[in-house]
Amino acid sequence: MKKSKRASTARDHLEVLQTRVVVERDNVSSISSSDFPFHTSNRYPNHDLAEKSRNKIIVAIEKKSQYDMEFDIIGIDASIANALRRIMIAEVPTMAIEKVFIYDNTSIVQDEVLAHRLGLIPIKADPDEFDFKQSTEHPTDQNTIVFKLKQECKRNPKTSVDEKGPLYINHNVYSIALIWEPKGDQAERFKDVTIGPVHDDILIAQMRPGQKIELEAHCEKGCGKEHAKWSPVATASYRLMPEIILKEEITGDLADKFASCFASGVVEVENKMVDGELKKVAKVVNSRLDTVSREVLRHKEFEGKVQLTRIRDHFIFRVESTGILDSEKIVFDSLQILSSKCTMLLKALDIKLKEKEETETSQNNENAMELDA
Amino acid sequence: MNRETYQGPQGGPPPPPGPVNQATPRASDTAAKMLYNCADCGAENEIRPKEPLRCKECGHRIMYKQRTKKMVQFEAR
Amino acid sequence: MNAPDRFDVFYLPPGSQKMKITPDTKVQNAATFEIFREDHTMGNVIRYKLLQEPQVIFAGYKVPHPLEHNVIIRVQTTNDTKPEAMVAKALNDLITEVGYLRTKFMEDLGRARALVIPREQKSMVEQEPQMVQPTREPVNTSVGGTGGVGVDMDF
Repeated sequence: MKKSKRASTARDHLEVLQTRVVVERDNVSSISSSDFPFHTSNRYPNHDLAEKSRNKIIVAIEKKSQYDMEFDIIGIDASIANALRRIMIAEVPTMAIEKVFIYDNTSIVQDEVLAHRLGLIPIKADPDEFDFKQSTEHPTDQNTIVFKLKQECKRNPKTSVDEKGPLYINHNVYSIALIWEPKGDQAERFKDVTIGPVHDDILIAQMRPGQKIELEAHCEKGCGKEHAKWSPVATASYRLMPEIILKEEITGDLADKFASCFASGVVEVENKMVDGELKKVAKVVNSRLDTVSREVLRHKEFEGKVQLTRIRDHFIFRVESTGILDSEKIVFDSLQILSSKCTMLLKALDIKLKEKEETETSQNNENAMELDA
Repeated sequence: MNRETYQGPQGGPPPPPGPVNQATPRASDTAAKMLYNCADCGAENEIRPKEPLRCKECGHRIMYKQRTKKMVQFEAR
Repeated sequence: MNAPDRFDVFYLPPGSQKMKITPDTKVQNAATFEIFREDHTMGNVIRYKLLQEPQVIFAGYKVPHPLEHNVIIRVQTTNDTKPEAMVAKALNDLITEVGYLRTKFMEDLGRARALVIPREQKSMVEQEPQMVQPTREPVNTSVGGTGGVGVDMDF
């Protein structure tokens, strides 16, 4: 009797180690995946991995808005999830202002500061329609978008010094002042879409009467790796699905305290019939909302009664776009970029193997000739 | 040799040898208007070369040079 | 003044090699792959996929120095195959897995989009009074009217 109970707990414990990341009070354990052949805890070295992975992967999307998306992927490894996250942040290309030609700037904001701020403004233009521009190339309608900004601050003639009312006109330079100048065939190509900043109300600079800003800005295609202004996301992140395992039932007032240790909506206290009595019992309702603050583990009352873990292959992604691209487009682009990187490496591997073959055959020919001679 | 009437070398470098009636072109002949802003009142003053520096409106003697009309290029980074 | 060009992180000038393979002299069926202008994004993923093959005895990667943008991957295999073949298999498996993820994602997207439309129409109305200086109409490139998520499907 005892032996089987011990064996079953051992098996459960092994399963926890294999599939969960254990969050303890002072550390996090069981972090790395052991899901590869010949690892001590794996007993199936001969399974068909491709088939197994195909059956496991599940994707569940929840779109919060056009530019904010949360989705779950279950069944992939952390390395792929991280690769997707890194690509979403740094390698999906967008358009951003790169060169600023300042004709006049008598405002307090220095030229370089103004140029820096302009670079950070998200520009709504489909990056697929444009090509990358090398530094040696000339700007063309295929690789550059031109914006002009011209604003002068004047005193408001309608209000005298004593009156209340706006003293100045045009003293705030907002991003709406960036006016797109279509060049070449851009007017034709983009006649249905407006090209301009994503938001009209980004404050670029402030001026006082007599100050003037006149500049021309060129937008180029780039990726986040080169400069953060080209990153298409405010951020892209993922977390592992939390799991709260109750080893013992938590009843009575402790149940209320237990529920308060977690974020709202995670644990609910319900009245249940236990041994003929109506008691308050804590129940885990929605562990997805848990922020894993480990508050429970701080209290002695719950020692040994609860185990906090995370499911190692369940990733909850959150992609928050800046508004240039839709979030799902960013995800698709990142999948596409990951697979094109693999193709590029396969080609490089191929070239190396061919080179090796050539050197081997030429060596063989040399040896053969020596033998003949 | 009257010492009082001696006057030190004037102007810039001596005119180069050549036909005496043709002088070298100097910046002062063809200059665009040099506009300066007064430090006190901010009024725009045109100051010609060899003219005493004084604001036409408030009489202040410190002038700021205006921003260049040339275009300057920056990288938005 | 001494800063290297930022595009050096990912740009490989035409003509230079992307990968260098050094077979291991002391160990059989082992090789080191040096990939230029790549980082943890690819290194970790290739290492993981290599470890999934039962014929791979050793697979590891490192970025030798953060200022030099290269990855080196060391692979050792059993006697019946070669490291190069395993790396090629890993890359191919990765391409299929990513393709599968894409299909799964696309399938679920149709269902998710249908749920966003009623929510979108409500939130757009709430946003109007907060706009500052709306002298231009709000930039809305969704083809198919205001607030709808009518984005075309072919990427």
